[in-house]
Amino acid sequence: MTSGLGNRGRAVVTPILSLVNIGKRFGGIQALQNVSLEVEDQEIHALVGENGAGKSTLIKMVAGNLRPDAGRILFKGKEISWHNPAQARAAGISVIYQELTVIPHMTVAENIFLGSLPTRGPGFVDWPALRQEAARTLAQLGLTLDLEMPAGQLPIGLQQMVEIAKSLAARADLIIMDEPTSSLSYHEAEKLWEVVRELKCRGKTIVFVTHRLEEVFALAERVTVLRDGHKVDTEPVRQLTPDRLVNLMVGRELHETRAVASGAPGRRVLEVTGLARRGSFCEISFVAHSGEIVGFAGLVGSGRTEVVRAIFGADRPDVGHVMIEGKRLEPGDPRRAIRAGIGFVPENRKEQALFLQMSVEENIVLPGSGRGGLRLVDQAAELRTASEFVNRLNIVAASLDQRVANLSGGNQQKVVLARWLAVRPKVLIVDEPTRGIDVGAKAEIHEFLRLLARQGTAIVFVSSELSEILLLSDRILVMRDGRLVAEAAGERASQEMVGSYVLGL
Amino acid sequence: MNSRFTTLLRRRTLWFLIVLLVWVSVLGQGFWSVANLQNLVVAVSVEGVMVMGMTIVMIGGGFDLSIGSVVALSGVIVVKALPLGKPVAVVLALVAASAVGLANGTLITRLRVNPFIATLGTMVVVRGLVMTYTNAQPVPGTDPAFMSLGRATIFGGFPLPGLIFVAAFVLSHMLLTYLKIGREVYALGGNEESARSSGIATDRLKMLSYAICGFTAGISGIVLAARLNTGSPIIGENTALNVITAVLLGGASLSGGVGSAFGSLGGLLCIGLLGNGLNLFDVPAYYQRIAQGFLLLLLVVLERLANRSPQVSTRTVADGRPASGEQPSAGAAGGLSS
Amino acid sequence: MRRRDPVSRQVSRVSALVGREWVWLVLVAVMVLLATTSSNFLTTGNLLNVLRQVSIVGIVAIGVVVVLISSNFDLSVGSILTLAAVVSVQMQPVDPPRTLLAILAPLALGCTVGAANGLIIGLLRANSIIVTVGMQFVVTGCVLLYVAGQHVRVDNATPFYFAVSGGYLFGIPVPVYLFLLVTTLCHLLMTRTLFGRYVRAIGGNAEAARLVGVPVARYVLYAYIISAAGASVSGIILASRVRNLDPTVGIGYEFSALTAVVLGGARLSGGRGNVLHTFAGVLILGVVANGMRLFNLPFNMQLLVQGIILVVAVALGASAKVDER
Repeated sequence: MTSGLGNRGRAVVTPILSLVNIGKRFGGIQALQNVSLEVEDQEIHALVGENGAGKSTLIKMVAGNLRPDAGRILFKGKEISWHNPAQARAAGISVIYQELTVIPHMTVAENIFLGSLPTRGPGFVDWPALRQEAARTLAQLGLTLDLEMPAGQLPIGLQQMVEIAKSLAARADLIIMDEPTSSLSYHEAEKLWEVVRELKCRGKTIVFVTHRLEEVFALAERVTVLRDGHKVDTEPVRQLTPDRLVNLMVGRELHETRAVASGAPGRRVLEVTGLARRGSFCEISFVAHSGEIVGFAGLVGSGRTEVVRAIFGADRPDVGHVMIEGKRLEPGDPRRAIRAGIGFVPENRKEQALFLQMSVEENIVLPGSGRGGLRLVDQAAELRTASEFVNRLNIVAASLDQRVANLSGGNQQKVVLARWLAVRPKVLIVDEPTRGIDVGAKAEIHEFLRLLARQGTAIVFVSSELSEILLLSDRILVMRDGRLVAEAAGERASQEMVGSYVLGL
Repeated sequence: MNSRFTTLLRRRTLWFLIVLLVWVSVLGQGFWSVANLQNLVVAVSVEGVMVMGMTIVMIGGGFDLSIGSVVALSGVIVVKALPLGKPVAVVLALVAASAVGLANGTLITRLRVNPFIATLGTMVVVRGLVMTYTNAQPVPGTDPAFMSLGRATIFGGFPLPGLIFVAAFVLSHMLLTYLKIGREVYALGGNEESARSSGIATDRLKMLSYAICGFTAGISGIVLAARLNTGSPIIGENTALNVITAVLLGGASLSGGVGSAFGSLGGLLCIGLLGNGLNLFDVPAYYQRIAQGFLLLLLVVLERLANRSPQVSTRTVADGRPASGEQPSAGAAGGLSS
Repeated sequence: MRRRDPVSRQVSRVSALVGREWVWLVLVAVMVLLATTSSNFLTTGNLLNVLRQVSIVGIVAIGVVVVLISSNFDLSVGSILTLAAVVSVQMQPVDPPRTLLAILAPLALGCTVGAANGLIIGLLRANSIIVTVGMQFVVTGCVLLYVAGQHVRVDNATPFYFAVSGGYLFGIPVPVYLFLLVTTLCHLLMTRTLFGRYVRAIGGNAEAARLVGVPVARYVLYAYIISAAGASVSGIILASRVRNLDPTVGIGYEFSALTAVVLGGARLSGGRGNVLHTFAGVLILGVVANGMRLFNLPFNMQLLVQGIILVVAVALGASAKVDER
């Protein structure tokens, strides 16, 4: 396929990016083997694959962080061999990584032109030029922001916009985005999609990696599937169905359906009454029954995470009470919550849940009531517990002693889940159960949550993926602007209905 | 907590400075005497030059424990080399000081050693070198005119070291606020990976910052040696901690990315005024140490009370949440989640 | 999904082991070097001497590494050591009751200081470097004030008091027993008890530890009390040995302890450390110092050599750690 003139009057006849027989080895592991793919100029191209398929490695090579052991990379028709990211950047490639890379204390304008601040005289920053250019770049994205605001104070969605503005400012022709919407709400994600389409109109080529399959269908023109370091296929999106795409990624049939409701809910396990926290949420009241899965839907920022954290005691609410099986729970103390039978899987597993340098086993057996510090550790019992859950949850790790830092996102999340399952909670609160996790592990975690519910645990979960809410919940609670605005039975809910509540239409 | 109180706490260093200034100048007998002011200026200046160098290093996320030893090193070298002429001696001492800074930089960038350890190591090695070379004996100065460097005054009374400090301060402030390379230091400290991916030569920046820090320690060492007319191998034992304290008081953080020349100046003045005040009140030296310690503790406690809720944070996109996903209502302390 | 051939797996396993335990290899290497170049090194008398010399720093270092594992620093240990030593001598242990006092009072005082550190740092999540430095200033100042800058001495101390540093049990100096005891206890504490796991969890991720039910502030407090206790014990031993103290006697102990800890491979961030490795680090320092004395190197050169060792060890360790995956 050749493309004609882009908006910038460029006539391009070759693919803008070509990878030919790329191979890369790390120690004993072949991360990529014989991967060839082409990205057409001004195309929106998706790159998908399970964790470990090789997507990150591929991106790092195009970005100049790594060099291939075998094969060639051609950019704009010329073979390249970069030694560092600066060269790739100078050539016109820009990567927006998963990890936020704004410098939090520096202003928006400085972040946009990081490393390439306009100067005047012997190295003095040209502040007026900076402001002007920054404003202009943002305008291309349809945004006006306070240029002097520290970038770290922006909501994540806007921080990502700053990242994109940075790419524009760097005059990138190829912009690679690594899971750009995994932390965004629907609203913000759709805004981002608009921006991506706008970028294409301006002559840019976009390659994005995602686990959200709906994004592939909503945004991409073509998609490349990687599996186990090999390229499986590149196809135009309109010739694919979701099932076929998953099949290509995972190599097997995998689709989730809503579980049939398992009968009448049990007794009340969790009662929340009048919970409020100034500035975050107010008048939150609901109940959860044994065996029930309650899903909290809403936009990012609607207060759902704050609510569940307050229930667990991670933060202290201002008013309201929480009762577990009829007994009042003193607010604000995670230890007491754990003793009362609540488990809590936080939203940000790396920062809030995992002990990255400790082993899988230790991460699983850690929760304690804080008592008995001098007690000797029962190594045999712990080994048994850890093994049991590693098997039950199908956690893939070299050994129980492996450091959790080296596991994939899906396995890390399973470790966090295993930890709470091991204490057999009456209520399990899960904040974003499958964020940043590949399709296969996602389905496993969903299945496991259902199993847990069948065994009597009440599950309260927060998710920004409407499909996940609909798949899992027996009951859906919708929050908006810190309040509960709707409640719906899971079976009878539809995407449109819940979506409209979420957005307040 | 009342938000007005919180804002007050946030400006605590400034308030302390004002309080100290008022207390000392009003109640202190002889604060305004020429001699006392000169002493104050000299004390602040000698440490201040190093504070400026350290500020740059710490904004970049680093740490330099070796400056005390470098002060001794440069003092000894300049005095020993005096027979070669003052300018040569000064240059030699400064070169040596910068070389130590470069050594630190190399350890940290090439060998990827943790700054704390790397500079701890150079601190001990340089001190050992100096002690061995001088046999732990002070080196007497051979040129009386040399003392002029440390004791001269200009404009009818303003000590020369003060001028050197003012120059250092102005240069640092300009570097950090107006020069591209200074802004890149903030980026380096704020998020090193990100800075590097944006094309900033992070390793070179680090080397430069450590070299500057060493250089400033060299300057201070020369000035001190000039004042004492002696190259003392044992001075500077506590220097590093004092200087780092001043920088931290001035708003820098151990993880880098924040801080300023003005802020560090404030921290420096706090410590300087406190010491001077205690001197004026004839408080024995031991009390001074205690007072300094208490001040530090107090300031830390107040800082923590003021910053109960985390303000700005970088989060991973996939596993993170917005730094502030909602508009916090006015005056809600702790309203921001997590 | 991942392909690893068995040979490379074995190789990486062995190299991982070596990578973890390299400090012992260094110790052995240094000892071998000294044994082959000096005939006086491998004598029982000399080795016991080495052990006795390092016991004081060693006990401090063990306390410091416990705090380090919780991802904090304790830079006040030198001043606590001085405090304990001075107080111990000032109790004038010339009869049994005062001897008891000369041991208990310093411990109590030292632990109080440690508790103060722990409370501020644990409850307020304050920066441990600044707090312990501030505390160091306060304690040093107080000690100097208390003794008005003069030496303190005790004459005619009881034999028991002497024995704390100079006594022998089955031919081994008492301080060595104390060092070994402290090492063993702390090692068991950190590796076999929930205490140790909680401290490591706090060092790894304090927020996650809180959300998992670990009483963070409480364990930080305990860690600082342990560190202070170690420094106090060392102070008492030092007082018992010297009995005529310069009130600046503790200066520099925090850095020596830190050197030993770093030699032992501890990481300064993320709270990783190992009591046994610290023990090895202390021994290395002691052996090297001993070697320098045997070769009659001037004292100042010894300082230099120690610094070089630190730098080299850390540089090597750092490059090895890059492969630690």
